[in-house]
Amino acid sequence: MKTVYIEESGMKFGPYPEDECFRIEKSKIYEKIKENVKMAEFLLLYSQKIWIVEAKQSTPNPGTRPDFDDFIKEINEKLSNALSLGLAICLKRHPNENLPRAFQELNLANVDFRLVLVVNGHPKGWLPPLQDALQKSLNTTGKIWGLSPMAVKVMNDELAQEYKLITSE
Amino acid sequence: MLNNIEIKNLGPLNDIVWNNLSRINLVIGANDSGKTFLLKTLYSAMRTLEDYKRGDERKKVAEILAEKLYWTFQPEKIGDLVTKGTNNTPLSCNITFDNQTFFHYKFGKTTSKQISSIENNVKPRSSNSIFLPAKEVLSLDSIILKSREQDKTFGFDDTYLDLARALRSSPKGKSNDSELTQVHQNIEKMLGGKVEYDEVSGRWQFKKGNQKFSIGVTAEGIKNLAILDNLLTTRYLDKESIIFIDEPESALHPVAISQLLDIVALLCEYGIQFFLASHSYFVVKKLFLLAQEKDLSIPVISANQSEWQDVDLKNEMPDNPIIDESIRLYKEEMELAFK
Repeated sequence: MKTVYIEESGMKFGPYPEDECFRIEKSKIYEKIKENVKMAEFLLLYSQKIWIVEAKQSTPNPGTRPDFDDFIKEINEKLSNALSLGLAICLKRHPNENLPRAFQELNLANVDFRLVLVVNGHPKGWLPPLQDALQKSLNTTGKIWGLSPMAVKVMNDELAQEYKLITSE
Repeated sequence: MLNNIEIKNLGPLNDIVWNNLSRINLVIGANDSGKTFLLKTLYSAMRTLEDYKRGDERKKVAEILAEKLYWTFQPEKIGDLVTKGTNNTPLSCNITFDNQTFFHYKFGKTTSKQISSIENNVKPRSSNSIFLPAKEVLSLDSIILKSREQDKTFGFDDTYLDLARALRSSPKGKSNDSELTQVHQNIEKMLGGKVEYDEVSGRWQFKKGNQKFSIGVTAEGIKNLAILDNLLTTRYLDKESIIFIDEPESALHPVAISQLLDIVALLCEYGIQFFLASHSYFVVKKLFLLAQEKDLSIPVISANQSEWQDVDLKNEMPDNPIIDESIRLYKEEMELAFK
C-alpha cells in the first residue's frame, strides 16, 4: 500500500497508508474557505479512531512570543474547525472533495475522535498543564459532539515518535 | 450504599443535593469550602445507623445521632451546627440508602441534645464504616484513646476515636472470602509487609519479612494502606462498609497516591463504597483515569464559592480550581521563560 509522509513544524509525520490519511489543510474545500478559517493539519485513521492532528513548533521566540490564552484559543479553533469540516466532508456536504476510501466507509455515529496537538521540542513536564488547558477549552466542543472525555491529547515529538505518529529524522 | 444526599444549612453546607452516587465519590474544593464537613456529616449519619440496635444497644436513633454529631463536630451544643445567619431555618439532612430506604433529620439552632424531627427506615446494619482523617493515627492511638475514653475531652473527634478503637478490635476469625483474600494479597504486595500491634510495647509496628520497624519511622505513604489492610484482616470492614478518606494525598508522594487509589478501586470492585475529599491534582487526575479505564462512574462534587456543582468523572473533567491552578502555574512558568 502506498504510504505518505507529512512534514510540519520540523517533524516528519508518517508513514501513513495513503488511504487512511486526509490532509484537510490541503483539501479543495479548505482552499475555497480558508480566509479567516483556521485549520488543523490532517485527519488520520489510527487505532480505529479519527485523529485530528495539529502540529506546533515550540521554540520560544521572544519577538513573536504568543500569549498562552491566545495560543490555546488558536489550537481550539483549528481542531474544532477540522472536526466540523472533516465530518461535513464525510457526510458528503462537499461532494467534490476526494476523501480517502477508508474515511468513506466509516460509521460516523460510532467512530471515536482524538483531538491532538503535537508540540515539537516541548519539555515533557510541561505537557500535562497544556493538555489540561486545551481539554478545558475544548470542553464545549466535546460535549456537543459526544466525544470521549479522553479525546484531547497533547504530546511532544518524543511521545509522538513513541506512538509512531512521527518518524525520527 | 449511599445513593442520594440532600443537606441544607449544616455549617458551611448551605444547600447540597448530590444524587446518583457511585462506589467511589469525590469531594473537591478549596480549604474551608466544607469538604471535610460534608464527609463528617455523612460519616455521623452512617455510624448512627450502624450503632442503632447493634447488640444490646437500646438508645433511640435520635440520641445516638445527637451524641455522634456532638463528638464528631465538637460544638458547644449541636444547634451551633446550623448555618449562621439563616434566621430560624433549621438544618436538615436527607440520605437515601440502598435505593429504597432513607434517613432524615432536622433541627434548629436552639437544639441542645434532643433531635425532635428524625425519620429512619434503614434496616439495622452489621457492617462498619470508617473515617480516615488527614492526620496520622497509628502512632497517636494511645493518646487518642486516653484523651477520649479516660479524660473525655474535646480535641480528637469521633473520627479519630472510632478509628483508634477499630484498629484495636479483635479479629473476627478467618475469612473464607476469596475475593477479600485477593484484595489483601494485593495490598500486602504493594506494602511489602504488614502493620501489627505489638502487645508488649503497646505500639504499632511495620513488619517486613523478619524485620520490624516502629510505626514512627515507617513511611507515611504506607500508613493509610496499612490501616485499610489491618481493618480488612480483622474483618472490621466488609463488603457493605463505607470508607471516608479525608485528603488521601496527605503526606503522600504522587506515586503513593496512585497506589492508594488503585487499592481504593480494587476495594470498590469488592463492594466497598468510598467518599474522598481532596484538593490534590494527582487524586483528581488518577480518579479521572480510573473512571475511563474501568468505565466506572465517579461522581465529583465541587465547591465553587458558595455553590456546589456535581459531574461524573466518567463523562468529563469538571471545571475546578485544582486544575486551574496547575494551568496558572504553567502560564507563570512560561512567562518566566521569556524574561
